[in-house]
Amino acid sequence: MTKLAQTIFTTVPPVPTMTASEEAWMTDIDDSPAATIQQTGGARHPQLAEGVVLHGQYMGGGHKQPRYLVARSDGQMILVSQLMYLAAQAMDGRNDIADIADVVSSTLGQRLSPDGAGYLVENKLRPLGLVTDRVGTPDQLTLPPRAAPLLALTLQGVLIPARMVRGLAAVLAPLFRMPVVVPVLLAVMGFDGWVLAEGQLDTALQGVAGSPTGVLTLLVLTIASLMFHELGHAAGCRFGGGKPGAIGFGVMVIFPCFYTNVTDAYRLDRRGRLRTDLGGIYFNAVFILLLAAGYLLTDNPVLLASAVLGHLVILQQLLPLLRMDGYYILGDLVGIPNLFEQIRPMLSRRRSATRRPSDMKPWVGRVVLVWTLLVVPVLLTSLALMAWRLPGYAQAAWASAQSYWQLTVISLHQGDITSLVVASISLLLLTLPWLGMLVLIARATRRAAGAGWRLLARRI
Amino acid sequence: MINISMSDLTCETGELLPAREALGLLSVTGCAIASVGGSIAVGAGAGISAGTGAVTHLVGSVVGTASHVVGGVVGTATGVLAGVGASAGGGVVAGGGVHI
Repeated sequence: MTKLAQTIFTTVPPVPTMTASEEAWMTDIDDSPAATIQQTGGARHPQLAEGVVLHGQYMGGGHKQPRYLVARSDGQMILVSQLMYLAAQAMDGRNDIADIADVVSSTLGQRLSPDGAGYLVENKLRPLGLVTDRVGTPDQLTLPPRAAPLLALTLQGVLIPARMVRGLAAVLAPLFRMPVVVPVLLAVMGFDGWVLAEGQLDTALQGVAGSPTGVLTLLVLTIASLMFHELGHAAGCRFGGGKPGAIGFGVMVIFPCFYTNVTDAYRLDRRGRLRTDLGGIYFNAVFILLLAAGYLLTDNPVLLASAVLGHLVILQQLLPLLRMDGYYILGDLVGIPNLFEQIRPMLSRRRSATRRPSDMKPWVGRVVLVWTLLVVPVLLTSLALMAWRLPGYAQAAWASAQSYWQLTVISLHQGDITSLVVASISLLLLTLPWLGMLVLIARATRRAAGAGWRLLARRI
Repeated sequence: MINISMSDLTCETGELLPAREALGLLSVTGCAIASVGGSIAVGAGAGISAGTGAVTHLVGSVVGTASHVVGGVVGTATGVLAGVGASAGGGVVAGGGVHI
């Protein structure tokens, strides 16, 4: 028996972690071992569903027991236990349930019965959409569950397709070589020191004031900086051996934002994941350096103002909230890939008299607990503040929308393209948060209704 | 060889991981460029703090206030830039600080 296997089967089993969608999915399934094989019929020669890839161990994980990564053809990544992973590995379409049990048993040094193997296949792996039958008969479960976090992007649209992003990422990836990183960071720090020492900041910023052209340029540069930020994530992912996905646009809660799909970074080691996380703000630093060079050459105050904004973006991104970069950085430092999913079990464990043990390493559990105790009040307070101020926001937004509309019309009549663009962008940016808020409310309502319905169904 | 019990198997878990989307929020753009009649009441030393809605972010005033660590430099910059938005004909993003 391996030491690993000993550890797995002599410690208290981890508390099952299940997302809301998974809970909903599992509602109708009788999970008792006795009901398993009879209920589903059980594939005689189960095999992995088409497109499923077994990526191996989740590296740098913060769990007591190692976790393993499996990817479905729809891109859904799933973190599974070692036993489930071994069973999945053994499902080659030739092995029957007894063979799978033998393979897993010989690998672990623990005896898994055929009934146990059948249970794993039918009640653990199949509901996750990982199993199909050898003969290709359609699964009973035709719609495998997907993660549906509450704080997810809405109103998404692709701006740069994955293939193009990968090409750009390949070109930019060398910026992550250490002989480049160190000089870039030193140069940015040097520029910051110079600006502060020279006291040019206020003068330069005031130079932008009052100029619609300056404001528009600032806006364009900021958007360019954000796009470059996204390319930083993609390039960081690529540098570590991952395949970045598309870059797009969406709304996070109520905030318009760009995004880069770096789901493939899950399979990188901790260093690779952190490089992906930090790639965005590192590219902000690179962009600041380019702006600094432009400012030194042209003395254009807009460039300095944009460089200041770049610093604000970096600071904001480091907050470990709302799936911003700081959130992923913290998650990867502790090795917990989905911190928000830990909030409920973490709080319920604190409330529970039995104090069910955590499946996280002790130090990781402490960090996640501190994060939970900070983030929950912050989010709740913020939501309360937002709700409290909502009437005022709505009033101001309506007034602003009217004034932007008037500006748009006037600019159009006068042929003032700059003001027209500024006003149009303003209107767009003003509308998006409200659309995002509507989507958020609709999603939260649907979830609450679903939870209420499930509760009712259980009681009936 | 030790048997793996059925009760052990019931505790086996599979966690669906959310798509990993690295975000770049446009909110800072709003913070810098927007203003609605002084809703971005920042000024020197105020950092990217809230007060009347400078960081009307979900993070809100709490983290906004904590952002005082950014110090006078950022405060000055933000304050001046708030003025930029105001004097540029109503600011770009505005909405009473909805999008900051």
